[in-house]
Amino acid sequence: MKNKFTGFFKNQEIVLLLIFVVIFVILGFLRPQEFLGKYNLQSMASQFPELGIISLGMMVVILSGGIDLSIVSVSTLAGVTGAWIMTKWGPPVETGIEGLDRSTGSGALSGPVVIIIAIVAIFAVALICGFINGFFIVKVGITPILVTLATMTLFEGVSLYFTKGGSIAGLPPQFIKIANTNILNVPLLFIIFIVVAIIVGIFLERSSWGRSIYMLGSNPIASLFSGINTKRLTMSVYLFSAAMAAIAAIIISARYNSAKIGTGSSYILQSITIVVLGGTAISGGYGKVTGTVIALLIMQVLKSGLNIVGISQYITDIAAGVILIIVLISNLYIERTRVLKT
Amino acid sequence: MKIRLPKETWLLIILAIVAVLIGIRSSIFFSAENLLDLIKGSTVIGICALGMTFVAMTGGIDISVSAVIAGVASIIGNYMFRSGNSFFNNVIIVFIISAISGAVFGAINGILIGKLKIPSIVATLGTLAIFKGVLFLITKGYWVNRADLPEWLKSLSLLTVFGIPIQIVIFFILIIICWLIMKYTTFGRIVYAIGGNSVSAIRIGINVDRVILYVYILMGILSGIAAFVHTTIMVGVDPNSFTGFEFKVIGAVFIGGVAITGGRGSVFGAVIGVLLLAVISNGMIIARIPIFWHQIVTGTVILLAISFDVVQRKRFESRLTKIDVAE
Repeated sequence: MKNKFTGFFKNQEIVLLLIFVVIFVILGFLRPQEFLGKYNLQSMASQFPELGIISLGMMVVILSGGIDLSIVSVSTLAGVTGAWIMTKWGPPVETGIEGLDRSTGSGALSGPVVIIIAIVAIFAVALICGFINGFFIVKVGITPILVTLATMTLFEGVSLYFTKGGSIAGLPPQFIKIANTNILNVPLLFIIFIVVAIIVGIFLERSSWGRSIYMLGSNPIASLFSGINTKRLTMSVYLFSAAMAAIAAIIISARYNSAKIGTGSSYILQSITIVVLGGTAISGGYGKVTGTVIALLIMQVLKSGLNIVGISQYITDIAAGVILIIVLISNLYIERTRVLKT
Repeated sequence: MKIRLPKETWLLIILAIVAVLIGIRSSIFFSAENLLDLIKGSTVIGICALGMTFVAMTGGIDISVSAVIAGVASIIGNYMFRSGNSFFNNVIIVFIISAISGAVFGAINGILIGKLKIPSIVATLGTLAIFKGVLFLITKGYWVNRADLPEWLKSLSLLTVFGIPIQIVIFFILIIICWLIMKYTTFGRIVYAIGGNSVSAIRIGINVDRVILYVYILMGILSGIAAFVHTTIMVGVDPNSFTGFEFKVIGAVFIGGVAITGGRGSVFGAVIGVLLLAVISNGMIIARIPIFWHQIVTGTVILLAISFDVVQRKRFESRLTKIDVAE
C-alpha cells in the first residue's frame, strides 16, 4: 500500500501535472470568468510559445550536458536581422508612432517575398551564431558556460550595432498576421509550438540522434568510446538550439511587431528554470519533453493567473523561485529513497 | 619556442600591452585622475570577483550575486534613511550590517548548495529569483536619494588616503586578505582540494558540506561589502541598477583563469581579469569608439582570453604522461 502511494509520486512528471492542475483549478475557482474566459486562454496560449520554444532548445543542450546562455541573444540578433531586412526592403508601413513613419521601406520587394527572404536570413544568422558557439565548444574545447557567456555578450553587441539601442518597427502586415491568426479559435502560435514540441519529443525519444544526446549527457567518455562522434553531435546540439532561437525570433517579432534588445532578457533564466523544473537534470542525461512542457504551463498559469488575481508580479517571481527549489529538494529526496531501496 | 609562464603573468603582460596601446592613442588615459577613476569604478565588481573566485574554486557558481548586492544596498540605504541622525547611523555599524546581511544571503545559498546538494547553477538561479522578488516587493523599485542619506556617507565617498580613494583602499585590503586566506590558511587549501576532486576531499576527512557553506557565506559577506562600497560611490541606492551584473563578475573571474571545474586559479588572476575588462572599457570610451562596439569588443575579448587559456592548458597537459582515459 505504501509502495503504491510513493511509487505514484516517483514519476516527476505526474507531480508536475498535479501541481499544474491544482494551480489551474484554484485560479479558475477564484476568477472563473476572467481566467477561464476565451480571451484569457487565447492570450495565455499565445504568450508561452516563444518561451516554450526557447526552453525546448535549452532543454536539448542541457540534456547533452552543456548549457546555452546565448540562446536569447541569438534569437534577438536573428530577429533584429529579419526586422531590418523587412523594413529596409519591404513595403512601407505606417508604424503609428508619431514622427516615425517607416516609409523607409523602399518597397523594392513585395510583402511575401521579403518575408521569405527575412525568414531565411533569420535562420541563417541564428545558425551562424550556433556554429560559432559550437566551434569554440568543440574545436577550442572551452566549457559551454564560458563560451555562451561570452557569445551572449558578443551577439547582443552585434544586435546593438544594428538597432543602436532603439527598436526596428513597422513589419509587413502579412508577417504580423502570424501572431494574430487563430485556427478554429486556437492561436496559430500555440499550434506551432505544439507541433515543434511533438517533433522534438519524437526526435529525442525515437531517433538515434536523440538517444545519442542522452548518452552524451550521462557519460561523455563512454559515448566517445561507443563510437559516437561526440564532436559532431555537440555541434549539432548547438545548431539545434540556434534553430529554436530562430523560430522564437520569428514568433517574437511577429507578436511585438518590432525587434529590439531586451524583449527576451528574462527568458534565459526562466527557460533554465522551466527545464530544470520539468525534470531535466542539469548535468544532462535525463529529461523529458513532456516534463518541460508541463513546467512551462505551470509558469504560464502562474504568471497570468496571479496577474489576474491582482497579485504583484514580484510574488510570481518569488513563487517561481520557491517552486524550483522545492521541486529540486523533493527530487533529491526521491532519488535518495530510490537508491536506498535498491 | 614556448614560454612557460604562470597564467597571471601572461595576463599582466596583456594588460600592460593594452594599457600602453590605449595610452599611445590618447594621453588622457595615463593621467592619475583617469586611472584612479578606472580602478575606483571597478572596485565593486572586483570585490564580488574575489568572492566568486572562492566559489568558482569549489566548482560552483553564484548567479544570485546581483540580487544579493541589490538587497544589501537597499537594506543599508533604508537603514541610513530611517535612522536619520541617530548615533547608530555611522560607518562602522552600517559596514557591519552590510557584511552580516550579505552573510545571511550567502548562508541561504550555502545551505542549499552545501547541505542540500542542489547544483549551484540551479540553486543560485532560484535564490536570484527569490531575493529579487522579495527585494522589489519591499522596495517597490524606489530609490534612496542623496538627500536622504547621512552626511558621513557623503564625506566618506570623497575620502582619500594619500590621494587614493577610500574605495580602492578597501578593495586592496580585501585582495590581500583573500589572498592570504587562499594561500596560507587551511580553509584556503581545503577550497582548492574540494575543487580539484571533491570525492577525494571527502575521503581525506574534509567536511565538504560545511566548507561549501562557509565559501558561500564568504561570498555573501564580500557581496555585502561590495554593496557598501557601491553605496559610497553612488551616494544613493537604485535597486534596478544591478541587472546583468552577475555576468560581468563571472566574465571577469574566468578571464582571470579560474577554471570552471574548480581547483585552479588565484585571487590575483581574478583581479587582473577585472582590471583588464575595466581598462578595455575605459580605453574604448577614451578612444571615442562608438558605444555599440563596446559589447562586441568585450564579448570577443572574453572569448579570446578564455580560448587562449584553454588552448595553452591543453597543450601543456598533452605533454604530461597519461595514465587515465581522457579525450
